Amino acid sequence: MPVSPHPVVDCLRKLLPKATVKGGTFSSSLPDPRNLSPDERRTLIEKERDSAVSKVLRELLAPVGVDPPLNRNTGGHRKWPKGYTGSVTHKGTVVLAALARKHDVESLGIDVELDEGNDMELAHVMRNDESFPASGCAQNLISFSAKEAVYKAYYPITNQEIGFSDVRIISKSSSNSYWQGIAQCPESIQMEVSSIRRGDWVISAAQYFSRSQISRNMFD
Amino acid sequence: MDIPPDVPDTGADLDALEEDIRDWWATQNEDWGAGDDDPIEDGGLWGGMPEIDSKAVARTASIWEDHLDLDFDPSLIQEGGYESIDELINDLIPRLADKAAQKAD
Repeated sequence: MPVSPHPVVDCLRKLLPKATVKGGTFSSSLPDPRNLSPDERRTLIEKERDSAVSKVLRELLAPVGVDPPLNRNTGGHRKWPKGYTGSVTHKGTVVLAALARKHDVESLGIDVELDEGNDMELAHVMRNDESFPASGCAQNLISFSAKEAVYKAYYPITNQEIGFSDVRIISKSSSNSYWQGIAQCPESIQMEVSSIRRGDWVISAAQYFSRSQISRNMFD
Repeated sequence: MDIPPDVPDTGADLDALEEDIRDWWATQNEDWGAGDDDPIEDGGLWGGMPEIDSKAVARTASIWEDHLDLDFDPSLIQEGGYESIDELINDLIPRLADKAAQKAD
């Protein structure tokens, strides 16, 4: 099952300059889903997605001499090779994975979402003391995606699950399609979080830097 | 769903909750692929196929909150989402019912 290029991969690379990013879409070999029963569609896309994730992880981990699958901890989260932090996300036929040295970033999390125009029901994701550079569904979607990325970066450093209301995001800057903020999490943990909007796609990344990494980044 | 015997009695009608969750899922799938001109290239139709991922489950928060009188906790959503609506129901109803019962105590 080939994984073909997709624009969201480059978007994620822009959000994670210190990480290696791999991914793409596995849609090219899929048949017309309307010719399949609902159960056949679901079985096929899950099988092909698992295969695509394995392929992407294989490419990502080859330089560090590790083969997927990765073991998982008791919380069900992947255990990345020693000295590395990583994250995987997928939506529809798009899969993305990122890997960075813990020397450069202590923990990272990524998320990709598709704006399907039905995200008003996500309004509860946002706290009253937050605001994002959009409104309505678009705002809800960025908030959700950013917090999903934060959640994925938070768990490896604390082994704790957190909910949407546990994270307060303070917006720092935004342009037409790019947004950046700081996520304030429990245990006094703060992370950098950013998102890019590309068409109907929202791609988010969260990065937790240690104090020495923050100092180092200031002088880079 | 046959409610397991160890699911605490929250006073809520868990059968009605399950029905509302199933109705929600049926609605998600209703119009998918209905149009003759729905795009299939670039993963169009496949890309838009309803999934029970964390975003979809988060969108059901109001259903859980209405039935169980609690704030939906998204950290309970299984990582990677669910493969079927049955899996979602069998995982989340007992866990959220447990949370609701703890809140009532």
